[in-house]
Amino acid sequence: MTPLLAIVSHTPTAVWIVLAVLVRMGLRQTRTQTMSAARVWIVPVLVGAASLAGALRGFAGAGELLTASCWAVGAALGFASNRSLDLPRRVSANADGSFTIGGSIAPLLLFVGVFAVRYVVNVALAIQPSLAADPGAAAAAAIAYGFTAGLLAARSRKIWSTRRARRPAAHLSPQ
Amino acid sequence: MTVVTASTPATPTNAAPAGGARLLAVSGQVMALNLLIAGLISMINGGRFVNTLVYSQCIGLSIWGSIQIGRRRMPIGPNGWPASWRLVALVAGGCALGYVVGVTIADAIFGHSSWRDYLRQPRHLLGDLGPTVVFCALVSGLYYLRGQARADRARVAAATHEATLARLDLLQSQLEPHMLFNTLANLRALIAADPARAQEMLDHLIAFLRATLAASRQPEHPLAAEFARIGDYLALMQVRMGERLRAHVTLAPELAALPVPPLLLQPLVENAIKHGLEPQRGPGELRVEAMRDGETLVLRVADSGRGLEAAAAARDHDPGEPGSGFGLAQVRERLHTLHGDAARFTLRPRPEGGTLAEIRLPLRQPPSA
Repeated sequence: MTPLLAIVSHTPTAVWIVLAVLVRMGLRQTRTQTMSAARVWIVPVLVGAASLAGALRGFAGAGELLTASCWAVGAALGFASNRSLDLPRRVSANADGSFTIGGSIAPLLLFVGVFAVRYVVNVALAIQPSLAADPGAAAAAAIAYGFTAGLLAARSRKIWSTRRARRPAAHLSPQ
Repeated sequence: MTVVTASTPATPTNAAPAGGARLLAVSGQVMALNLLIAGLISMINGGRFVNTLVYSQCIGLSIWGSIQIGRRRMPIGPNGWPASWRLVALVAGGCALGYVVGVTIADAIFGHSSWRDYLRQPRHLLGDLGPTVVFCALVSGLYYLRGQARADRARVAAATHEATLARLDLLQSQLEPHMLFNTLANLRALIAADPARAQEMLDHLIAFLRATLAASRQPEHPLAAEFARIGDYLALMQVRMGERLRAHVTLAPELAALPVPPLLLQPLVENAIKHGLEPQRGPGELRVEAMRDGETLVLRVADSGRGLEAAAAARDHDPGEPGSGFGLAQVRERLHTLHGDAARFTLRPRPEGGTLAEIRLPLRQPPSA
């Protein structure tokens, strides 16, 4: 067994820079911000594609069908879990097609979660290359990858859906 | 071997309808998350998956339990969680306590002592605790977000419920059966005596009913529409009261397009007739007017009826007499919702007798401007 601490100390600096960038992105979103229409979909599409590709490439020996279907199960679970998480809580569409999203710790958690899963999986594959053919490991990694991607996609879908609900800047009425 | 992980949900106790069933469902979620985390951790640790799983479940469930118990002893908000430093203390404390308890339980199952190992190799403790802290924070965060979402939903549901009730109240106050039946009775008499006037009255009634129903759906309409509806109402009242009611409705054309909440004036006009003019023997005058005072729109309903004091006295004398409390409270509430403190509503006696109701609201240009 390799103590995790030894792994952490051997991690290349570039990985910590990625983590720092992700944390910075997440921290910035703890405050209310405006997001362009394109960015709403870029993040989940990139994360989704990267996580599916990462799972398929990392666990090539475990069978593509198993890995892909576990990823899909994880994505469906992540997507469905936003029914109760309801991310993002405060969002409204602007007239210019962008969105205003209330500050929340959710993006920070999601980014750190995505990083943690990738980190654990990549470290595991580096120290135990035989895992690439292990169906159990492939399933766990693919479900975890899919979950974060599904949750991000559900979040973007909710942001996008406020376009329909957008009303002319009318004031509220008691009725 | 040790290491492992943790999870930390929590059900907002305020929104738990069936406590036992919910607790079971959440503990199921926690165990599923523990399973996933064990799967990830065991990849790095190697060794037997079962061992990692047992440690993961023991630690995860202990942390969950610690946080659950901790939350019961803390002041919690509508999202089911304490605020600021208490939240951090709860998660950190729950994580630490749960880790100690969980490792001890799992050690007992395997007949092993992780603590002896940690004493010899403190670095191992750090390596094992690290992932626990990360996953504990992530999972607690998820359940914190869920608590917030649930609190939001509860608030929206309460607000929707209130809005529905208010709309019903509004509708009820405007479609007063008494007024409807009186009008219909008058119509019945008119049909034979004066068919042309009966038809005209029916048109007013239709316009009034349509406006009342529409008013409960749209947030505002032009002042001209408001005055037209008051005109309809007064025309109906005119048939009933005849010469006893002299109504003057004046609206300057430059104010006609200003948006106002629909039927805002209706309860005021109704009150003026019901409490001021109708109980009075002789003829009475009713003035409804809109004017501009700088950046303020002033709406006035003035009557030469018996006055506020007499109406109050009549109410004291006969508690059965309908009070005007609801209609006025409703006007105040609507103004406050729309304009906050910028709008004012006053009801006062006129020096020459009768009552003056006045609404002052900030002038806004019509939406098209």
